[in-house]
Amino acid sequence: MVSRTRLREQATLAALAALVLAALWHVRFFEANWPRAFHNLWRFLGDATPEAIDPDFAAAVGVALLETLEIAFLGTVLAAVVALPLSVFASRTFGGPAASLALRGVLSFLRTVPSFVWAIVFIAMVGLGPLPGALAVTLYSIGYLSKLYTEILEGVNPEIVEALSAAGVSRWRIAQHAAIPESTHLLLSQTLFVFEYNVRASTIVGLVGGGGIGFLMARAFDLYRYDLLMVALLFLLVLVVAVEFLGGRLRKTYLPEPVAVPA
Amino acid sequence: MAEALSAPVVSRSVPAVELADVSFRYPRAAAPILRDVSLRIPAGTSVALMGANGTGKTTLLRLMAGLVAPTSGTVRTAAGRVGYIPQQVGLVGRLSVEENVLHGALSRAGAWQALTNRFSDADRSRARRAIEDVGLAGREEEPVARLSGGQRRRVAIARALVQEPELLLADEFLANLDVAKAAELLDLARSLQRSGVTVVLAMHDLVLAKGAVDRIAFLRDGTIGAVVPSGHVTAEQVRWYLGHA
Repeated sequence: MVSRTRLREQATLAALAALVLAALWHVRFFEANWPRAFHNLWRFLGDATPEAIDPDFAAAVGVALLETLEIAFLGTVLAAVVALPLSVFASRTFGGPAASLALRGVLSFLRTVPSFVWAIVFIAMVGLGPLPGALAVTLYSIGYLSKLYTEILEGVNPEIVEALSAAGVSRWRIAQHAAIPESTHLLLSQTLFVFEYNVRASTIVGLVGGGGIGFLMARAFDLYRYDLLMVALLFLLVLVVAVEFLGGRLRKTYLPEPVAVPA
Repeated sequence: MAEALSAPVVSRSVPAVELADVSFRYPRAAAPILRDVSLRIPAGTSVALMGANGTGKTTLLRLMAGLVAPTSGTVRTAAGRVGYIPQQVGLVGRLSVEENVLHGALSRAGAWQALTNRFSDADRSRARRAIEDVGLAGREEEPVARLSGGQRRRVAIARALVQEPELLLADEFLANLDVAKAAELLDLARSLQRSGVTVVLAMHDLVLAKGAVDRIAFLRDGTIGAVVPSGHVTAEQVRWYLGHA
């Protein structure tokens, strides 16, 4: 005899499968001509395979990648500088209830709007190029970093806060002198993570005109030069892997978990 | 060592802390943790709060420190400067001994001083003296995370000393310490009291408490059963405290 729990599990699985099928039908998965699709893919890969790497284009890719790194770096550092004090006020531990709620709303809005949409807004303001890209990445990262920082600050040992509160120290001073120093490792680690993420985000903002490698890729796409697109993509892949590798090494070397002697 | 501590003038007739019919219930808790607690602690005296885990000692200290407000009743703290040492001492493990001790001077630092992390020479020498008083001279630059439990408690006391407290509240003051280290800390608490500070310690060890404080307040099930001079604890009170009354 099948138990009730087993029946419930089977019913849940069946419902999930039905939902997946309905979603596939809705996106017209079953209407697609799949043999033709794979034929098209084969043809695209043929067009995108570069016969040789043009040194001039490779140099342009190098400059564009540097610009992408600059956008990601600036966006992360500027955002970190703004996000840290905002996170103090947005945290339930250190901010007032009303200020915290209002600020959380604003910061939530900043990260809800994708970075490429912010890029379009800044392009309308200052024109094409790396500047709107950097501004877009900064704004989005303020929202994103604030969320991470706020959670870190709220996780600080409450006894530290209580000991200093009882001594009459203001919440802001407790955050500055105790909570932030106590969480330095986590704050830096998350900032590094956002920088790694921003290297990819900077490519996306470039696609809509925000400078860097994304901008170059968009031009290659416009000209149907899939071979150039592929070269840029390969270089980008190398950059992303290198940044993540370096980030991992930096974390391991300079941001090890603090080792406490047992009390 | 701690004899050198400066002694504020206190009057033992004035209560440093006075609780009248205090009850406290944590949000969403089924029952109050403290019920109708009344306690008067004259300035310059010392009291040990004794009771099993969960009897409300920490809550009582947090009420005295002004960290929470009573659900009913009143808490009056005459002491202006309150030093509070939580159960796990509440130090910043990544910072040095001196940096943690200087936190005691944060409340009186000017806005610019606090923002730029530049303490006055007077605060710095006060911190050095406090570190010396608790027997940690020479370890000023050491990160607190590397210290033992007893040493961390000493750092917390030094932080409280820099505040120049009129009232010192310490939770589980002797937790995880061997008898020798516990006795050293109690010596420190006694010399603080001699210098005029009102001392309230939450602790478990009746034998150590008897020689170290003026009075013992026995807590059970959220109420204070008795407040007795530490030299006059009766067997009946001990039985009540241990839950065999």
